[in-house]
Amino acid sequence: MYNYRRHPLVIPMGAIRSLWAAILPILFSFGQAMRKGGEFSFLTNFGILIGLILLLLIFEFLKWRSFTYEWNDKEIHIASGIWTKTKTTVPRSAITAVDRSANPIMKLCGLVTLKLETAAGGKEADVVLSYIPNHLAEEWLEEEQHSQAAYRFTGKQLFLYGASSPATLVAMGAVIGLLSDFLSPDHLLEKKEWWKHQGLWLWIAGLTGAVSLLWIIASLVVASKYYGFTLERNEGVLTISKGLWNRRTMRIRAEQIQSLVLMQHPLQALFGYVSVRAHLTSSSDEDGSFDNVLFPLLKKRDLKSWITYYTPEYTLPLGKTPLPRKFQRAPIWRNIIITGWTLLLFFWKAWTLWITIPLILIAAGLGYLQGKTAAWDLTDYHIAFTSQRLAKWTAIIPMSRVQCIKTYTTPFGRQRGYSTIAIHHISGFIGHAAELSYVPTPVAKRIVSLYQLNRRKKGIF
Amino acid sequence: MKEFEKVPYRAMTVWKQRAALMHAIIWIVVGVGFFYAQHYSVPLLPLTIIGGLLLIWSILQIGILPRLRWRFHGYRITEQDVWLYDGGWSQEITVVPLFRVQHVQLGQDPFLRRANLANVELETAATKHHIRGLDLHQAEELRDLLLQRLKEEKHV
Repeated sequence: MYNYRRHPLVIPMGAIRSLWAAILPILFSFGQAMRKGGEFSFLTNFGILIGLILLLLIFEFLKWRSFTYEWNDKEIHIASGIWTKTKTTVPRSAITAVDRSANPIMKLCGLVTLKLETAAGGKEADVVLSYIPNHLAEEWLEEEQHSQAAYRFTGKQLFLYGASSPATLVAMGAVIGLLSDFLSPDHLLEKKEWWKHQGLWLWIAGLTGAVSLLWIIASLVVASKYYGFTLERNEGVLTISKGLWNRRTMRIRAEQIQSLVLMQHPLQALFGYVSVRAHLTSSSDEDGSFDNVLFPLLKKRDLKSWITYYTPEYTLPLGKTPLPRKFQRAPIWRNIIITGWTLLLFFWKAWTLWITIPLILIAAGLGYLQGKTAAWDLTDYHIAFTSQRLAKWTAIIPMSRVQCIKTYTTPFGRQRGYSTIAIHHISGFIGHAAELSYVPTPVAKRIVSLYQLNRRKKGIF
Repeated sequence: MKEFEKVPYRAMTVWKQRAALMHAIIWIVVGVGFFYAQHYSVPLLPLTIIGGLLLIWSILQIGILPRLRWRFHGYRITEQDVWLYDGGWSQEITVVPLFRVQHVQLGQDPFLRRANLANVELETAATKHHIRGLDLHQAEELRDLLLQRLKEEKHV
């Protein structure tokens, strides 16, 4: 069809990736065979596995044969599909972000995977060209020389980022959930004088050990993904490169950034760091979130100069207005009620009694922090919200990027005069909004009318 | 003074009909489940609790929420924006600037067709918005008005 095919290495690598995706069912079926102890069953499994691999290889071969591509100055052409033939043409001017990645095997063969994003939203990349020669990609992308002032990461910062990354927390939460489901200490707690049983303390020690081990592993994984992180600006284009095993280089147009989010994990706050994330029109970050990391860690005092250099459209919020005192306590009550409700669902479990008071205290504390930190900032060009769940966040949205504004009021809110305001903008996650709760209703109305006045204004930079 | 354009009263009837159909299906499934539970001699207390909660939920969904929603569901068009009002328990007011609207779509399900009503869907680059149960004429007028305003707006 077109002149170029991908490198044939894609065939075994594609098969391996498909197998890896199905690793759990395969292991399960082998485990079943082992348990029964029958020789025949094990052999059958093995045969099926080899058959599966052969089928995958044939399938990948057909895919490889049917995938051809070509590009010129204006357009990129791709033909693909075994059964349904698809031809894709993407004009180069429509491409908003380019993402290059290569793992060591690919590097050895001089290959690279290109992911091209157009402004069409959604999480998946629009065009993926995997295992294409590096020199072709470079020639096509016309790689610029590295500029002088670039943001870089030191080793200490890298580990702090790993230890405080949201991905790490998610992994830990999942494991704690699994552990407490399968190895729950319920039977120990139901005994008389449960605190005298050694088993329980062993369980707690085991849990603590498992969690800290996981924390270390997850931190190392995150750190390896962000190893050697650099951010460079070349006129309107930002270039991010990162990764130890799989080296990725992303190029984003600065005008594509829809909003900035400053996140401050408690651990980062302790050392005076902030991490900056950006919502793009379509996202391709790999850590499972819908926004892209712009600066993994920045010293708080350097924040302003970095942001004004890299994304001049954004200025930092200057005058934050906190919630009025009478609404600051509202999140405390809401958290207590929600926690109480959730605990009621487990009323028959023995541990509920012991866990209730600490959990409710934690919920109340988080509610207190949320009410205390919640604040808004309005200029002619920006709306900024600050709040806190576990980590403190600040979302900065330019007036000219807002798609619509929603205000919610509950019956309590109508009675006491507060509402929730949500600002929608384009994001990789359809329906994403920056939300601030317990805003006095007159303020919410003022935000809407200010937006109506200033929505077409853009800052001067 | 009328604050915003409400949807016609019969829209509420349609919402009630739809909720009733949904809950009839749910009750049939639950009934079959209860029948088999009896067969396997499951204790009665949890079944009663589940049944009671479900009953309260049905009454809320069929009897109360459609009326609440009808009282606060509609739209208002000003020079540069569409204002959308929606809510039952929690009330929601949305401002969509006209120059952000990317497409307008009418939709009808069988219930709505019978009552000669239609849903209007507005889409921006980030979100979708619905006005549910407008009179068909009203909906078509709204669509045409929106498209006309949009054209004027884009020329500015």
